[in-house]
Amino acid sequence: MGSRFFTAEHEALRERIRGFVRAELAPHVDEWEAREQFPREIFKRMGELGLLGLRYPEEYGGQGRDYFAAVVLSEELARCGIGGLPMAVAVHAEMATPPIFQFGTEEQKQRYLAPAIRGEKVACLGITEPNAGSDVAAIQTTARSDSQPIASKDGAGWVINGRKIFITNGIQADFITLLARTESAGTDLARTDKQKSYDGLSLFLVDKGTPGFEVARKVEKVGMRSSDTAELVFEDCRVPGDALLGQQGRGFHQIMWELQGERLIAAAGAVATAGHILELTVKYVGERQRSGGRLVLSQTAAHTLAEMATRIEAARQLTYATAWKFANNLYPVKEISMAKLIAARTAFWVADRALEIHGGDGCPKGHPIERFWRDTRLNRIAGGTDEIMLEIISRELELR
Amino acid sequence: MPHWRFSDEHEMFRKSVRRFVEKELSPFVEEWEEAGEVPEMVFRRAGENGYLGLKYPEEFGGAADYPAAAIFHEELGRCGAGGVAAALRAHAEMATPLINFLGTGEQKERYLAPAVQGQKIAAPGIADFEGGVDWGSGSGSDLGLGLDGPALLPAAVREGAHYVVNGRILAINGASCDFVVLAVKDPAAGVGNGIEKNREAGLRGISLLLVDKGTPGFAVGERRPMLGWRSSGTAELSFEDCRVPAENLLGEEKMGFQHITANRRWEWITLALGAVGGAGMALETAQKYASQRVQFGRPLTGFQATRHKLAEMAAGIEAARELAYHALDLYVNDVEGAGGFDATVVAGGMGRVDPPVPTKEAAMAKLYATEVYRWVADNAVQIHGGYGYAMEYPAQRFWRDARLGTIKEGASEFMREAIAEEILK
Ligand SMILES: Cc1cc2nc3c(=O)[nH]c(=O)nc-3n(C[C@H](O)[C@H](O)[C@H](O)COP(=O)(O)OP(=O)(O)OC[C@H]3O[C@@H](n4cnc5c(N)ncnc54)[C@H](O)[C@@H]3O)c2cc1C
Ligand SMILES: Cc1cc2nc3c(=O)[nH]c(=O)nc-3n(C[C@H](O)[C@H](O)[C@H](O)COP(=O)(O)OP(=O)(O)OC[C@H]3O[C@@H](n4cnc5c(N)ncnc54)[C@H](O)[C@@H]3O)c2cc1C
Repeated sequence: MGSRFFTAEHEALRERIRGFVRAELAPHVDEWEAREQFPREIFKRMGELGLLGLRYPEEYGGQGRDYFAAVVLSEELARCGIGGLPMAVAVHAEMATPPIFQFGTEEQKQRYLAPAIRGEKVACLGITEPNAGSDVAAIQTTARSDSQPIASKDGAGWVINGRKIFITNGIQADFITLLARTESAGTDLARTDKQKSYDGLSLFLVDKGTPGFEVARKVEKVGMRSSDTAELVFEDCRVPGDALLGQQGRGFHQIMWELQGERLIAAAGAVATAGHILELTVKYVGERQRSGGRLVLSQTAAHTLAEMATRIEAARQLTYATAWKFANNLYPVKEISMAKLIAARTAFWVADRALEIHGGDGCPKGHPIERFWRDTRLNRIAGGTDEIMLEIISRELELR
Repeated sequence: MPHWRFSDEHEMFRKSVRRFVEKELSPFVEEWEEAGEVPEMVFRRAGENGYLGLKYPEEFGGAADYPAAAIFHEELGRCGAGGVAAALRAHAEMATPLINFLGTGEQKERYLAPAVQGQKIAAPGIADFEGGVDWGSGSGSDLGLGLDGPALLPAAVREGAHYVVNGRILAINGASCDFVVLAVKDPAAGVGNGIEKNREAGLRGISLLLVDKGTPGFAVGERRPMLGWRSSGTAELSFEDCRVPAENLLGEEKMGFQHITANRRWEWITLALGAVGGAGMALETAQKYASQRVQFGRPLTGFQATRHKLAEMAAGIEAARELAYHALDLYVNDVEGAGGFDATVVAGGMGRVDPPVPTKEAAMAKLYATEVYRWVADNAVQIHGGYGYAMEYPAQRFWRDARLGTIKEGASEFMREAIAEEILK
């Protein structure tokens, strides 16, 4: 079709990933959905194939490619047939690790980023808490400076207490990129005013297995079942001073930066999933027509398919144009929020209409269409809900 | 508050059903969803309370009270699991009405009476929902049977005093039923594989049989869990040279399609009211959650976006409910006007049901209520945020269950066709 965004190299990468998805993922997705977990070896394998560090520099084992390489990955993973695995990979490669690359010390990059790129360490990202989802600044997990720090170079340390919920990869992760409150000990850590709460947050890297850091439980979900979701607890979890990622007190801003990349890659994945569902539906309709010996599609069905294609194309082009800005080091918050909103809504709407078109055929539990219907619903909730996107867009438009 | 369609007795009846639902159903729905079916005990209890025969004559435990039956299904919709409601509805409003309209005295004794008491569980093996899609002109004449519907029904061949049945069908209550009201095709009558004429011929070849569990050759296959309605006991029934006595023919031979069609309006009205009940529960659940969940320093009900969502959900439900009551009223008037329901009244053209039964309003009620529920439940998930996606909260179940409503028993597109046909007459 000739795209302004994708080069021949991108297309070669696309072919390679498509082959991998077809041979090594698609045949197993039913089983992974039933088991509510895909095997950890997938991370290892993707690491070997260089797919977990497409746009990280070579010095950390990355491929040194551009942002559209990451878009290609999310587009191709969408074809594996489920939403859970692509989401888990995106959390690992495009959500939990970018802050390490952006804000981490060289040592942190060697210790966490490089093995994550190799697929040896699995990453998760901990923002959401039982009482703080949309309202990130309201998180209550605390990291107080430790009065008796455990051995570390700088002699400092932190004691972490709190709970995180809905953490993707939380069960199998080896470490967490964690958002916690670091206002100085002694002051009331409860939120008093806006500014204070924005400035009182910091990021940390915490290893699984650190005493006091436990998986409280697995959260059972209606969709994305192949991806594990955990509730995590920190109880007097002591970490060394160098567990701090980036600057103390800048955690809110750092995580807002992270969320831009998260939402953009989520938009790309959602559009690609929608495109895949449309393909499956067109194929289904074609087969039914052939078996029914009819050549003329009903107008309702044809118009529904036409509208699916149109909405997908609009969401895709907005996503590409926004990705281009992002790739060129701009910070297009409004466009990213718009792309996330439209892509999420489109993906679920397309899945919903596809289910309607499949009728009773699409309803048996585990049918790809009913599964996509459940999976795509998450796009409108995670990474910032539809309403939060609208909230951000209205602020960017200076309406409120 | 009094309502124009219902008497004081009806309102009292509603209260007692609500108590039954709250005490004897709601607390157990999780368990039954897990099990994939509703225990027999529930049918027994519903039978004891007279809920399964409300619209039948007194001799079968009822009082010819259609509005009471409608109330029952609206309240049942509030139990929290679409599958539980579907199981009781499939038994009482899809399977047994056909016996009431069409059955001989003996058939009524053997099947209707115990079914009304909840002693025997009925499964409607009427439409094969793996059936095809009418992707063609959309003439909307096959009433949700799907293009291949008649083609995929089990085949029955008359051999002396028996029908020999071969084939399979999916049915609600399939797992736990004692008997099935089974639609069978005449394999000689054109298999309806796509060509309009054959399909019409296929539809004309359908008959209804009453088949007992335990009849040699009749087996219950695997339970088939669906996206929603998990507790509905939906299972595959298979028939292999299953010999069904000829006296088990229900109604007239080859008039099965018209017979089924005759009950469709009532199915739509009760399905619509079940959706209204379910949507009401989804709204109440979301409303409660929104007033307790605090973000950005206030309850979600403090945000205009949430308030307006809740308001529109409430408005949609109210409109759906009144539309369904209107369809119910027309239906009851027509049934009473005709001196009781007689299937032959509606055995008009192929799939086209002539007045006095109100097709248009029943289709509108079904279309509107199931679409409203789908949308209300979607909003309920959204209002719950991440918790809407978690299995431990009920929002996801409302959402999955609601989704089947626009597909089941004639999809929304089919309802639109039926309505269009009438308003364009
Ligand atoms: C499967 C899954 C995976 C996830 N993975 C991760 C992860 O890896 N890491 C992580 O940190 N988090 C993760 N999350 C959490 C996710 O990001 C949150 O669920 C999401 O941000 C919403 O927060 P909440 O659930 O607390 O909902 P709430 O914030 O309580 O929102 C509830 C409802 O209120 C609305 N609302 C909130 N504020 C406003 C407002 N100001 N105006 C109007 N409406 C408003 C919301 O839009 C929503 O509809 C995941 C969630 C799920 C379900
Ligand atoms: C969980 C479940 C339980 C069920 N239980 C029972 C049961 O116990 N007993 C029973 O008898 N039946 C049962 N059914 C069957 C149900 O009634 C059918 O699924 C329903 O009538 C739809 O038929 P179909 O699946 O063959 O699809 P079709 O009616 O063929 O339609 C499939 C899709 O095509 C669309 N479509 C069809 N025609 C057109 C057109 N002309 N123009 C545009 N779009 C069109 C429809 O809207 C739908 O999206 C059950 C179904 C489900 C999902």
